[in-house]
Amino acid sequence: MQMIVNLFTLSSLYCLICCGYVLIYRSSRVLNLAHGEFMAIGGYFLFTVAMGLFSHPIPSFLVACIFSLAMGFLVYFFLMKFMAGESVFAAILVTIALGILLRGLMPLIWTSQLWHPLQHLTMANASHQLMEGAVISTFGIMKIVSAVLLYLTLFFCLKFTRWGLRMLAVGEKPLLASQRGVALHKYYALSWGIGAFSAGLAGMIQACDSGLEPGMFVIGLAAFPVVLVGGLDSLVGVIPGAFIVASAQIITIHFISPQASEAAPFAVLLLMLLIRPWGLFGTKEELERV
Amino acid sequence: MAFASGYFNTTYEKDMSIVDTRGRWGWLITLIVMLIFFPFFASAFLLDLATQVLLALVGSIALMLLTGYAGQISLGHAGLIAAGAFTTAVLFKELNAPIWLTLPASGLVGAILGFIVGLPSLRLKGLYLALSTLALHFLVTYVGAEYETKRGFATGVLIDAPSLGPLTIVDPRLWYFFFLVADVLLVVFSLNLVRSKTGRAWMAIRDRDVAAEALGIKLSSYKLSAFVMSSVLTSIAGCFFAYYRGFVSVEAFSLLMTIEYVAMIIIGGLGSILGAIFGTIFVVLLPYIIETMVEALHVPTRLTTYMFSINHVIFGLIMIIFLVLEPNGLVGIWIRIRNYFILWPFKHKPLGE
Amino acid sequence: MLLGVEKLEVVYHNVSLAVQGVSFEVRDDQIVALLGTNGAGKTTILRAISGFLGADDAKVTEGLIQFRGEEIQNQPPHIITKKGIVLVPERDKIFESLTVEENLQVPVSLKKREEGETHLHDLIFHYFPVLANLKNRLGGYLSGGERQMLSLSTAFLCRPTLLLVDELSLGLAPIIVDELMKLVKLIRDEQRVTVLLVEQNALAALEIADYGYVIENGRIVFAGDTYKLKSHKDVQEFYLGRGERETEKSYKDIKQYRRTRRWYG
Repeated sequence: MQMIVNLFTLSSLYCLICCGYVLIYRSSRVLNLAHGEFMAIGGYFLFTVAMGLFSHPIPSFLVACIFSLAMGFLVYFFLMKFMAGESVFAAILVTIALGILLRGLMPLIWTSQLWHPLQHLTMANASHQLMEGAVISTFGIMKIVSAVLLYLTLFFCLKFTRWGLRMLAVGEKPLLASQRGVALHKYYALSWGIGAFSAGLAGMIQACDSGLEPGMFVIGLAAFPVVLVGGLDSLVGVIPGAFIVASAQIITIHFISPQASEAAPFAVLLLMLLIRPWGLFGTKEELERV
Repeated sequence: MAFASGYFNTTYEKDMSIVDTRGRWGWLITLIVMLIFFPFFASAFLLDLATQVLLALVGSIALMLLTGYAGQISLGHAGLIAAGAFTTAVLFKELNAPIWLTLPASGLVGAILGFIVGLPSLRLKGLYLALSTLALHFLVTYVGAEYETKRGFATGVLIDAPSLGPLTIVDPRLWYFFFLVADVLLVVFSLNLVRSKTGRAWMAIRDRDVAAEALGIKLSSYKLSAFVMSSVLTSIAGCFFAYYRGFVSVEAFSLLMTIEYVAMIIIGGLGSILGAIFGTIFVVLLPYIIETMVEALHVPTRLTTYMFSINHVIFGLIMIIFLVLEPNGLVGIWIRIRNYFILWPFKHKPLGE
Repeated sequence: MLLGVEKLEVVYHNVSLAVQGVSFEVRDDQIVALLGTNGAGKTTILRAISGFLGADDAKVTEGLIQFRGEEIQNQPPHIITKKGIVLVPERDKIFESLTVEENLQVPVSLKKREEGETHLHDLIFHYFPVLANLKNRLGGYLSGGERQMLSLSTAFLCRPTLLLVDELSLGLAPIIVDELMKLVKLIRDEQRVTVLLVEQNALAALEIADYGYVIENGRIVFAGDTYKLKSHKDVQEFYLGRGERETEKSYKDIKQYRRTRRWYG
């Protein structure tokens, strides 16, 4: 039973991280390999805000989320905008380089010791008893709740609002969209902002749940296979993808070894690439386009 | 420069030649002479740097062949180097195998892995291919880590220096010459490979694989050959790595190593062996340049404990700058400078050419 | 004068000159045709006007493009679209993963505040009744002619002052080309949209154009109103498919044939 609880919390965490991947990929066709670092920085933002400004969780989270959102905008306007016309591979390399840059900055600014933002937030990560002796922490619940809320909001906005439609148009043919009056930069920036925000939120919740240290970005790395399994451009696909990869990891931890659980998502990835490269819900054309 | 003054090729051989003018032969011979005499005039530190560059060059040329010429993106480079290094380590520890056994064995392991990794390339392109190679990296490092823990080498496997006949390569100068010879052979091999039918097929596949296929180039065999060739060379680089360090441990083969190699070929300039050379020199020398600069600028000691992170920051910045401003890398800059002097006083070629 | 191009020079990759010293003008409510073969530089000119040169690493190095008296060369595309110049491109003209209805919702109208959206959509279905039946079909499943219609509609939805059309007839059956050309003329007549038409199919273009320019190798070699163009011997021979001789040409003639074009007379 505990395994099932862990499954849900881990999947929710992946969902939170991966919706950013999908959004950014869908609009700018770039796989943001600095996403793990965005996540970690979100956690650090929360820590700084909690330590410096507010001790109450709600305003801290809010302000930290705004910082993450702003960071996404900044990354777009000062970096990714210039890669707008270049090849996808070059843009991905830029995100890798950005990730390395951020990875270097984090210990320089916040040192590499383990922090606990919760200490500054007058809140405890209480354990709650569920049935059959399984426990879930407060922030474990937060993961699940925020993932659900975020997804519902996103689904609604993309399918039923004009902005969502334009976002899809920009993702498919940016040149044509711009010729039809759609302000490309606005939509790109929006997707990067929301992506960074969701990753940051994931980082914040994870930091409250398990502590904050620079090595956190590896969770972002393990989240790749999730998007691939689900389909790079499919928000819907993230959900089954997250569950599949999370189950693979949890099963591996229990039955093989914790070491193997690092490789497990990538084994799933390899399997998916061999069987159905465009993922469960991705568009097949994506395969040829890249 | 030869062609600007109206130098025309009258035979096929002349057109295909790697070194085409007497001037170029002159420069080449000067370079080789300098390289041979270098260890006798350089300090131990510089010699070590040069040897590191030469060692890294094997891996970067291998990656350049795969990505720069054949257009197949690979993020599993560190995994392949690890594979070569671990093969060497395993064979040495279990069978006490000498270098003339471990070297081909590493190559063979590389070939097999390259074949396996190359198979997805027949169906996948670009991003998807990159991710499957990434998966390779994690799987290889996992296997390596398992070997280490299961056989009790928690801190890594120690390897003796290799011996080629009567010579045991321990002295730094010997290592330098060992790698110099290996690199010269590799460069000559690569330059020939690139101007051969295989090389042309790879470049066709890189540029427009649909058109290449329409011209009768069998995509599957050439893509696989690119992967296999590159992986063999990379694993051999791993074997060299193991012997040079004398020590194999899974931590050395992180993703950062892959990214360093990718940076070498990008910063150098995709699509030329010269680019691999420029890029390798740049990336290997960079940490030392940073260190010198940090000392010169009297950075507060609190920060100097984080040299690793500072390296990261500057490395990331430089990669970004090159990717955004000069996608053709150092070779691109070199060609621009050269073209400026060749075309001067014209700004650009007139219409119709 | 709505659009004026003066001594335009466009260079690709800093080294390759594609358009040299091109000057022409487009007056309000005219349909002007730019004729020429492949590689003559027509698409480059359209791209220069609509601001899409950057994507191909090209630049306007000399000359100017004036729209309503304002210089617009080397400006970014969204600014030019805002001024009322809309391009119907040669390739990539519709969103294939969106339905026809959704395609029509994407464009941003320049006269948002003045006109209601339903009114605009009704107008579209008035000119392109075919599209009304295809509302829920995915763009990717439309035929060539239907795509071209959708593309014209979405361009029109931006309420342009100047419509640039790149190779309207490419890949379409003559009867569809005919229909589309008539629609373009109708839109110009009823909606007061000026049109700059780039075409390889000179015959079709000259059916609706008021004025035309012939471009070769990046230079304008001939200009005139439709009657002048249609009756010029060289235009007839090289662009309209009517030769001087009525008898069959022998291969020997063609090989030794060196026709000097009488462009400057």
